[in-house]
Amino acid sequence: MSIAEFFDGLPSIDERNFSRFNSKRGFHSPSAVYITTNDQPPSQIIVNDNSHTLLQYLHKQWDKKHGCRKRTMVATTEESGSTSRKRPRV
Amino acid sequence: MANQQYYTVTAHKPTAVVTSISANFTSPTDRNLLVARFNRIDISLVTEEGLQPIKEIALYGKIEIMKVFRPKHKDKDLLFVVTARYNTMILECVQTESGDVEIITKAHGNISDHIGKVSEIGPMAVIDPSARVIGLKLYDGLFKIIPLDKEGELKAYCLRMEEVEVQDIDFLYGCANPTIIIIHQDTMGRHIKAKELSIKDKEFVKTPWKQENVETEASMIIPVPEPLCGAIIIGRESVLYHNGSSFIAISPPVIKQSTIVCYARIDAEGTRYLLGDMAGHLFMLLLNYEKNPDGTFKIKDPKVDLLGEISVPESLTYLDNKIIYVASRVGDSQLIKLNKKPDQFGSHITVLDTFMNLGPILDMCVIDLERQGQGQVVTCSGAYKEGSLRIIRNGIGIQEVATIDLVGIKGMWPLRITPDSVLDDTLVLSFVGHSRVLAYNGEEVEEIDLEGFQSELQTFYCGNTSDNKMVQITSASVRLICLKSKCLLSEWNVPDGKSINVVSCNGHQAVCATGNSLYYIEIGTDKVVQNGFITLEHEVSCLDVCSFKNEFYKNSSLVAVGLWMDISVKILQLPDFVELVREPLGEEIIPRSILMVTFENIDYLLCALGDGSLCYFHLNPENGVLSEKRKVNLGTQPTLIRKFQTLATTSVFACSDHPTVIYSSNNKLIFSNVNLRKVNHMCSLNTKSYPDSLAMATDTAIIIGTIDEMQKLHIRTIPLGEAPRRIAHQESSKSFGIITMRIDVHEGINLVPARPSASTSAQNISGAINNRMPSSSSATNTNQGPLNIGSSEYGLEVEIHNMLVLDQNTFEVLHAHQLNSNEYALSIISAKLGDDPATYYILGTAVVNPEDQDPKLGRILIFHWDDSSSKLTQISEKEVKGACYGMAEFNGKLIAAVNCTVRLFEWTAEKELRLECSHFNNIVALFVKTKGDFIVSGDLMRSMTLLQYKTMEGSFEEIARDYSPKWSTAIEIIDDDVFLGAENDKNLYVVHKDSTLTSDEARHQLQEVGQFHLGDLINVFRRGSLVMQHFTDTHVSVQGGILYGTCSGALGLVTQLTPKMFDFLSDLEKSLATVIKGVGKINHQFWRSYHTEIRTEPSESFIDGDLIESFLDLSKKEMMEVVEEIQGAYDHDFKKISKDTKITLDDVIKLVEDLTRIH
Repeated sequence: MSIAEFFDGLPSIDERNFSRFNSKRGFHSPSAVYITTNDQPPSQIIVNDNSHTLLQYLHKQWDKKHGCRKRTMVATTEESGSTSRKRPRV
Repeated sequence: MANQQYYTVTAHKPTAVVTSISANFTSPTDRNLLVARFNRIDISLVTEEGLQPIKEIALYGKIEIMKVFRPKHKDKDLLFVVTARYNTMILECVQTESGDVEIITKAHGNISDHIGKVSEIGPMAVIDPSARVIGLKLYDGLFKIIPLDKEGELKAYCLRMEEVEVQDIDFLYGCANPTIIIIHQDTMGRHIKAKELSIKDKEFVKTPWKQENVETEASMIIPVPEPLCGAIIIGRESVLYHNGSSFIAISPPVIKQSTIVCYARIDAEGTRYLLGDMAGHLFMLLLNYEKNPDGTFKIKDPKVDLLGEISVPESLTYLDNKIIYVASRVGDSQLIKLNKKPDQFGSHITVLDTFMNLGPILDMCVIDLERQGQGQVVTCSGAYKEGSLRIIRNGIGIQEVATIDLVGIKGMWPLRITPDSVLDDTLVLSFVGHSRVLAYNGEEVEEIDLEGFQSELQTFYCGNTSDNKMVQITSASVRLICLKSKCLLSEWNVPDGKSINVVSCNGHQAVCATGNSLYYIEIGTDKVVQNGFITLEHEVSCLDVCSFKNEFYKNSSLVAVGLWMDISVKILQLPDFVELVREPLGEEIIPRSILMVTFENIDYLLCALGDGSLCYFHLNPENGVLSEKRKVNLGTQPTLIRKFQTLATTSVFACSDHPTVIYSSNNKLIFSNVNLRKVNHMCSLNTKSYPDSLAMATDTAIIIGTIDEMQKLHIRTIPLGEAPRRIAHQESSKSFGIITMRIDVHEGINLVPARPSASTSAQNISGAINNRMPSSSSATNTNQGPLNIGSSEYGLEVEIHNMLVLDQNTFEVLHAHQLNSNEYALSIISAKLGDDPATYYILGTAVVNPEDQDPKLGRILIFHWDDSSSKLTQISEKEVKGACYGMAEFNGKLIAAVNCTVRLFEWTAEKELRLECSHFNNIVALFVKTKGDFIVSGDLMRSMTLLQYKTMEGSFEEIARDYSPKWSTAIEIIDDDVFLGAENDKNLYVVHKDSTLTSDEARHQLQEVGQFHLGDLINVFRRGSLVMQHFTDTHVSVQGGILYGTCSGALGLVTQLTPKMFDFLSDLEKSLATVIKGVGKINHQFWRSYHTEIRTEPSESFIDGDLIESFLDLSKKEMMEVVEEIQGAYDHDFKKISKDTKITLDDVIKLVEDLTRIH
């Protein structure tokens, strides 16, 4: 029976979970509302590239033709660490 | 009217679930369930006792996508959320030192593109299993990538995807580079394709594998984790496993009936899955394999089996130990347990708990059955088999279980007379001049003689004390009675033969008043002793004794006294009656009942006055100091307040002509009225047959009942088993008329209902009940012609529409009138027409022919329901040239919206509808509302039009229209020249007919005077109110309030504000928006700005009541900050002043508390 086989392998992360379940005494009270007035630490900003897709494509083509060099350089700078910062702009 | 300003607030929060997931969110070891409903995320914790709510996070946006992911080298999950307006955020939960949780926005931004066609299938997000990138499918032909393993800015970019019609998308496991798999469709069929992504080159670099022409209705991808990898593709009839090099497919018959819409992976290795379909079936999917010696895997045939029936699922979440959360958008969500052994019906499922959902609310009506001046809302909720009616009323319901007729009850107390019993077994009743004891024997009640009990006098208190003893306080004495030996142990008599008139006792302490003398009596284990005495300056009107434990667990006992004459309250300390506080109430009415009570660790003093109002204070039990005085009106007569316990929480019952339960929720006192007329006395009762009950004395009887859950709105569900579409109430016949839709299935030549439901189990059935379809040769080609079916249509689902008549009290389905299989019921009203004295149900229909773009034909059917004989009679039938989307009664005539026209019909003496005039200037007229001589129609695309009926000419005149295009979803008339609308872009708007303008052209334009983004789709507006008028205070009126029902199951209120209130509340709103930091760093102003595809403008003339009410969730310090941030200067009456502001924190709290009571 596949159902039996299915049930035999149902995982249990913590056996105690739901072991004393009682729907009558269940937690039906509404949970506390999260509200904060604390200033949040600065977060990473997700920026969206809103340029035209065609433009993006052309940029990419340009990068492929001319930018390979640039990219390899960036790659090497990452590897070489702090010295890279002193490299003049290309 | 130049000032049109509104307040809109959610009265019942949205309940339809968008999605649910499990995660280690609050800590690495916590297993959490996260449930997204509209704009909220509910976080709960899996515990031994079940799901424990932790926090509810509200966002400034409707949640479209919620996913979790585990960043590399982290032990906790992060939450990724995208809102309907493409605000995107990554959230982390951290525990603060105080044990509370804090939600940190790790990343945020808006990812909407200026161009691009929004994917019809809806936004999709997938996260790479190694958490390198997030992929989003928002627009056709584009796949957006948000890189995750970057510091600083996260630059999202789009990849072109040549596959335009993408059905589903996900990341594959076990790939060196992030690789997605898609199901896409072209003219040839549906195909699957794996596409490898290069993060460096920002493009798809190769297609590792693909499979063309999978099942034509393949719709869902389940990526399989390592070691197997590959993906399972779910179709309408088949399940396919593909790993790139080989595949295996099965077509299990059990899944053919419906469409699988969601899955849950259960084990980490990806062999066990749960699948849920649109009909609410839960299936198991087992993908077993063997390991070959060469390290490859031999996949066995996948196994699919039916486990049982659940709510129609939106998502499934495996929590632990065979327990699953079933999230539903169209029905109640559930917590279910899987059992290995099937029950007698073959189901492997036990439903442990259900979570109420009103969504989608398609229609509703507001009625006042009890004539208490308070509306109840009856909604058409849910879809498919989850269809139901929900009766929503403000307040708490009491289910009566027994009544005993008795007149003249002056007091009631529960008692345990059986030694060592833990349950109550008797009820002591007090009358003028005598007392009686009723004993419960099962459900039987008999009067008994209790030895030692004084029955010749009126009792003022009676109750158990420690170890099998009881105390009775009569007008003459305090008596301690042993229940074992059944004799009087000790008695304290009032000196000088005076008689007691006010008493309070807590079991071991009693305080008795005779006139202005006050005695303190200690009740020991076998003795009652007078231990204090005081003479007060006036007579005592009410008393309460209460002991408090301080932080050192030391008891201190306080007495609260209300006095005649000077109308004040005193707090005295026992035993010596030391006066701690004297508080004049500043009222002109005598206090009649007083009570000290602790709710959620806050001590209160409540004092009910002779006019039905209630004053309440915060009480400091250390020094008796009273602070933060508030007042509410509960009833109109002297009120008695009593404490009672239900399920270990203390509440207070206010007995009056408007009985009310007072309880606390999130540290706010809630006053909920009870569905009873008048209660004079009450006590709790916990007997064997009546556990956890309340006994309430009315003028003529004792009612024993159980009380609902303590919540502000009480909701009752009437399951229908099919989808209700429209509702109308008919007062004269005490019934509801409801349009429903059920699904029948072709079985050979018969149409058979897919499941039993309201229309199949009605007491009487009429209409096109003969499902037997004639063969094609005999089919007459009438407009409602029978549907011909060939063998290919076997198993085809057909929508069958019915009109049901339900009893307004019992909600029994009295009658079902079935329409033909190609006729849809679209609208129903109850109305009186012309001089005809009868009230009719009027039904508008459309004949739906798949070849027609718009219905070409419809009917208006007029029925009479005779409630005495339970008979439905069709009076008349009128054919119309199109679909009758909406109707309204108009001065004894009938207005109907039929396709692009608004038509007026007259009711003739021959009981027939006769067309009088029409208005044609619409795309599709969907709604009509009327007021006086005016008619407003709502159009599919062209907003609203105002028509006037010219009685003399017998024709319509188009007075004005809103020329800016809006796809209206509901309309309502606010007053003669102001109209409220809701549209498909989830905005509310108000338009105004300005008669003062000079040019004809300008007058013909409805001016937009108000706009607000609600974010939720409103399906219906109805005038009415959920609260009784007496709760409300002076500042805000709910007169003319308009309720709305939404797609996500929310009920809301729109009400008009005075210019003064609007000015203050908009300043308060601005201040709140600056002080409260929105989760995900979304700006409140952005959230509420009017938004359509073509324009976004700031909200105007609307106050966001949800934000205003969140003021009460702040701490005192934060509230102070908000009040200080208020821009303008105001006096105590919220009037704008030029000089320094006089407004105090208390003024603002009072105002906002009042605002919470208008819904």
